[in-house]
Amino acid sequence: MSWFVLIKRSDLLCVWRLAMSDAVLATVGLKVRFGGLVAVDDVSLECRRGRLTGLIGPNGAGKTTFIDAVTGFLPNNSKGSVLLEGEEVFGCSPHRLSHYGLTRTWQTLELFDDVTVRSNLDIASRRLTVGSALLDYFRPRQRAERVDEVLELLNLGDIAERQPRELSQGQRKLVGVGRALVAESSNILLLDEPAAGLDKAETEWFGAQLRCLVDQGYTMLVVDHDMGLVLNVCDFIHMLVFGQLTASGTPDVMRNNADVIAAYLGHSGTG
Amino acid sequence: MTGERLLTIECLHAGYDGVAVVRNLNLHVDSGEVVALIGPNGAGKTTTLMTVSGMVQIMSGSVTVMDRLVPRLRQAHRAARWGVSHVPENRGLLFQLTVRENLLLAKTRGRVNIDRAMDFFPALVPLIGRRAGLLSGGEQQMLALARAIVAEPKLLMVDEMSLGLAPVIYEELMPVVRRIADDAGAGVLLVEQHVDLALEVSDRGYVLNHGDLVMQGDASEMLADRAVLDASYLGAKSLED
Amino acid sequence: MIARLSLAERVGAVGLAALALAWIAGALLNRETFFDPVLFGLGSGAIIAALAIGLVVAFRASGVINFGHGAVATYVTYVYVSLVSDGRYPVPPLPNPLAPIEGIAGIEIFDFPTFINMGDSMPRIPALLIALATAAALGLVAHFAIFRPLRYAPVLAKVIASLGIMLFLQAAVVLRFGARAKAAEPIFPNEPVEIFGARVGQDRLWILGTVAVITAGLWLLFRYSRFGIATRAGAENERFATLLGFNADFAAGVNWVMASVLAGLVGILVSPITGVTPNFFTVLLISSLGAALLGRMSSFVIAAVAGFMLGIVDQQLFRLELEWDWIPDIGIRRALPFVVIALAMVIRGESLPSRGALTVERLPDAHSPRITRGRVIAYGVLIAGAFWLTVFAPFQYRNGMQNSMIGIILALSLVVVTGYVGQISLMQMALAGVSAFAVASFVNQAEMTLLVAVPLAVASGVGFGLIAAIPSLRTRGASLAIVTLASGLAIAEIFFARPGWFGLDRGIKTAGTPAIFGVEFGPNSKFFLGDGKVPTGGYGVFLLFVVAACCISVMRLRRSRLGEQMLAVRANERAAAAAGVNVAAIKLSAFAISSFLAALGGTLIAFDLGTFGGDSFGIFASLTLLAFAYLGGISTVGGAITAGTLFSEGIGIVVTNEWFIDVGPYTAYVAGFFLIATAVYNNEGIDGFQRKQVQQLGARLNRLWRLRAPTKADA
Ligand SMILES: Nc1ncnc2c1ncn2[C@@H]1O[C@H](COP(=O)(O)OP(=O)(O)OP(=O)(O)O)[C@@H](O)[C@H]1O
Ligand SMILES: Nc1ncnc2c1ncn2[C@@H]1O[C@H](COP(=O)(O)OP(=O)(O)O)[C@@H](O)[C@H]1O
Ligand SMILES: [Mg+2]
Ligand SMILES: [Mg+2]
Repeated sequence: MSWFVLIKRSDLLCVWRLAMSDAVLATVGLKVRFGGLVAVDDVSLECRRGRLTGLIGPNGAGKTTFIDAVTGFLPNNSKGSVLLEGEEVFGCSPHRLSHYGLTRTWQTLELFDDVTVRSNLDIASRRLTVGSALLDYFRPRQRAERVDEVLELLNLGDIAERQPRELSQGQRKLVGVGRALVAESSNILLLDEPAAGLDKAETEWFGAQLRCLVDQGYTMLVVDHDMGLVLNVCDFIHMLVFGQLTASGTPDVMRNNADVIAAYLGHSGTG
Repeated sequence: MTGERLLTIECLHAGYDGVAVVRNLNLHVDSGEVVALIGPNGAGKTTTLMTVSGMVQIMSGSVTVMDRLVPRLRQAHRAARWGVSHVPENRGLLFQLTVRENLLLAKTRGRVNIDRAMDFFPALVPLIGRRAGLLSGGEQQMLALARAIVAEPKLLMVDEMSLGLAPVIYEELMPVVRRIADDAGAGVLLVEQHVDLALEVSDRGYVLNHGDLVMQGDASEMLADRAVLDASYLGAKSLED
Repeated sequence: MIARLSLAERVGAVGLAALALAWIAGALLNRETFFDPVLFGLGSGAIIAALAIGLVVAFRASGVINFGHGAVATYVTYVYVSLVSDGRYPVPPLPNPLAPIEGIAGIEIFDFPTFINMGDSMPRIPALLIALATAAALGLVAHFAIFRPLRYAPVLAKVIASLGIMLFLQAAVVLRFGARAKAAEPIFPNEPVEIFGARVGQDRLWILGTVAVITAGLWLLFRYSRFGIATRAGAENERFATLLGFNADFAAGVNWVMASVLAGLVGILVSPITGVTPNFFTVLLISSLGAALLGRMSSFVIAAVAGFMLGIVDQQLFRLELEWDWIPDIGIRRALPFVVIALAMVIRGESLPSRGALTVERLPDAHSPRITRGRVIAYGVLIAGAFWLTVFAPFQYRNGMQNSMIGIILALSLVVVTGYVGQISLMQMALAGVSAFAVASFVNQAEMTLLVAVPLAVASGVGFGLIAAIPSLRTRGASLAIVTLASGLAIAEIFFARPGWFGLDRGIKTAGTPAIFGVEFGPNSKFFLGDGKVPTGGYGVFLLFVVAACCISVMRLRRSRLGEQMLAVRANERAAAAAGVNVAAIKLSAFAISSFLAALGGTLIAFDLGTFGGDSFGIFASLTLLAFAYLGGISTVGGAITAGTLFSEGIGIVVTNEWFIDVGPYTAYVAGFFLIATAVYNNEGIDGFQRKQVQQLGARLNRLWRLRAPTKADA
């Protein structure tokens, strides 16, 4: 079977359009199945350069699964196509994708629990090849400035020498974000509920930091249930419901969209 | 409105490796009331709850649950048998067990009313046979809450109740918490980042900041006086700046 | 269902079905070759199955691979035999609690009743009950004295403790009942019956039925009863179960008793068929581990069925080896099942753990001290002391030092792969063996110079290690531990026992004396320092250089980026992959480095011993190595050094023997006891324990200091 039979015509159009646009990351017809359950159903969306894209949806809608699939953690369950800077990267292994600049955080923290916060960042800060590993082994490495910068940026300086299991939930979340931020060649960041566990003031501060990073040129996709954060800092928002992309728009549009209110926001969510 | 005293914390100092992260805390919860324990991230809220269920050693002071001193770590399972239900911050689910099996563990003996859990969280119905480890974050949170509710506790402690829940869900959840206190006469100690929502359903509130109790009082008064509340919240941080 | 299987799984299933069909056809055509072995295999199959479900009980109850399980079976069987044959009940588990002291001191302190007489010979049923009660008591003691104190300890500490139980009970059996084989009175009738024309002892069918019933019972218990569910909960996360009000401790106790009684029952039921020797069940335990592994250490039914299959396949292969000459005689019969199991694990495994997989097991801190001037001086003093001991001390100390230094290198190999990357490897001694045999062959048969032979031998060790490491890319945790155990077994069975580059010639192997450019530096060669008695200091000095180099290299590894990434893999494979760590490459490089160290240790052993056989490199050697390495401290170089001193016939033992006591025939017994005690009291290894003590002292001083200057500390 040749490849063009596999791709729907609308998708083909989509690919062409994407090639023209400035999407850093785009998915086309991404689908994830777990046995009988379709967790992500034909999702095509894009994250444009220098924008903060939000992804919202009720619990179990498939947001985390979407991120898992994009970052290569579900090779046996997913199909479709993922374009990073216009290149097909679907099927690449997670570490390879990270080298290409696709970095993520985890809803479930997944920190390196038995090393310090600084080492958590250190590990992610530079990619290791056979050559660099040997070089580093025989000639002790320099301190990574990038790591200090990020620690500073996220206010983690005080706890840099502590171990993650000794921190409170919010602090751990920030360490996760820091770990994604330090990557050498980050093209796009996928943040999965980065603000969970932060208090209101901290969430605001965190939103401002995100905005600031985006204005410096970062591209991000943020999943969060804190509407204060999502509606205030995102440029564009998509909503997933039962695995399907049901609504997209700017924050103002989404805030008043009846579907979004019914499926997700409820009454006070906008507040 | 309030009834018997369920939880009394007096002059509590608790922490890790000899360093107190909660200092001189006084707090109580009576039956039939909802008490919000709020405060910035890292304030010591989780530590407080862990002390009540016997998982963190008390350094000084006393914690009394239903007129009994809190058990030491060795006998920590007794606290649950006295009627304390604690939803920890990391949810305390057994990932290798299915949703149903997790719910069955709500009580150590007697029948567990699984249907009741499903009434509270209809979203769990199709997930009943799935391994808890496979659930999404929010689904896990629902399961943890459902398990705590069907345990029919006298004292319910929920850490970060809305963590990872979609707005529609936690909005509906707050009245549920109120109902547990009103109908079943349970005492509820709630840790929550959505201050307004939490205080709306609470009778009283305590604000913890950097391990110190910086404010306490009637929930409605605290809500009315937002400026004071925010100041107490920022307390230590504004000092730093 | 079918749709969910991956391609490899489908190929495997089709292959199995084809084999089954071929076998049925064979059985119809030639009953004697293809059907009789099945009936004969039922006996050993039943033991393997029953031990396997006991292992699953222990694993479900506390996440432990219980190496002591077989020893419990043996001990209880001997109790039963003693009761039935001469009506004497041996007071458990000691021959006499004072015996070690008496034996060492050479005096009779007190006449302890080691046997209780209960008439001439006891009927079978009461004897069975008393023996099972003993088993229950053993289970209780194991729980209260060992596993309860270890409940928050890393799982590996518990595994080490179970190894201690194995050594201890086995030694107790030998001391008390002698090493001779014994047969027990059968409980079940054993008149033969005829099935499809083949005659088979009836008891086998009874045992088959018993195992089936027990399996079904356990399945129901763990699946549906709240007790069973709570037990699983407690094994997964004791704290969470406690928060829900379950006394995980109690459940674990009940399960230990259950596992122990089950072990005893198996022993008593099957020993009439097979006879029993002190290590009979422990050897079979390896097969049972394979069966339990196929059931992912959690399915009773799969474990039981797989156990029976292993017994049957073994008999079938035995028969075929006899009848078909073209089957090469290279230990296939013992190795093949494990290779198949390892393959099955690889096929079913995943390259990264999936969502909600069990969290990786916690290991002791991989502490890396900053190099300060004080430390450098301390190391210098250490090396100088070691130098003095290897060259000038009396010969037994020199010998101890040599053994210890080799032990350090072997322990370092585990520090890298288990301590840093978290992959439990139970094949290290097999890798050491490969290179030991290889270097002997290269030097003596191929007459290569040492400068070529040693690198080649070490390279072969690394090669074997890398091949055996492939399963680690798709399995982890306890499964990987068992797969590596199987690999070690396969290497030993296929290569060591028969002639070849990696095997014996005429029952032994000789490496001779190491020499470069005609300068000999073996343990028997002349050396210009010291008293000139064997072992001379030359080999020791050489070892000292090698050990120092290895220690420094591993320390640097820990502090390098590669080491950091290794720790990341150990902590969380998924997160490591997302952070750009190539998990597979890291694992393989760790296995390569570790095999290198193990292989290096192997060549050193070869020259140290001069002449050796295969037992130095068997699976029990690997298990013991892991135990010592863990007790020393599995994740630090300091721990490896500590482990080296503890090593069998190492300097620590020599010093104990010389200065304090000589335990003589009680060595294994005392070693088992101390293994358990050390595991219980230093559950993160001696090295970590000491560091913690120092830290606590520091914290206490710090607090005192703070009390005096409170204003500064709290700001
Ligand atoms: N490996 C798996 N096997 C079976 N079902 C799975 C698996 N992984 C996820 N699911 C299911 O897929 C659905 C989507 O999960 P996902 O984690 O993507 O939700 P989410 O949108 O991130 O929700 P939340 O906001 O609660 O985190 C859930 O119902 C979950 O139970
Ligand atoms: N296991 C631990 N060991 C040492 N310190 C800890 C541990 N757990 C929490 N802490 C510290 O205690 C403080 C309070 O934490 P926590 O009770 O989790 O805060 P909260 O729940 O209010 O966000 C934090 O500063 C945190 O770093
Ligand atoms: Mg999610
Ligand atoms: Mg908390």
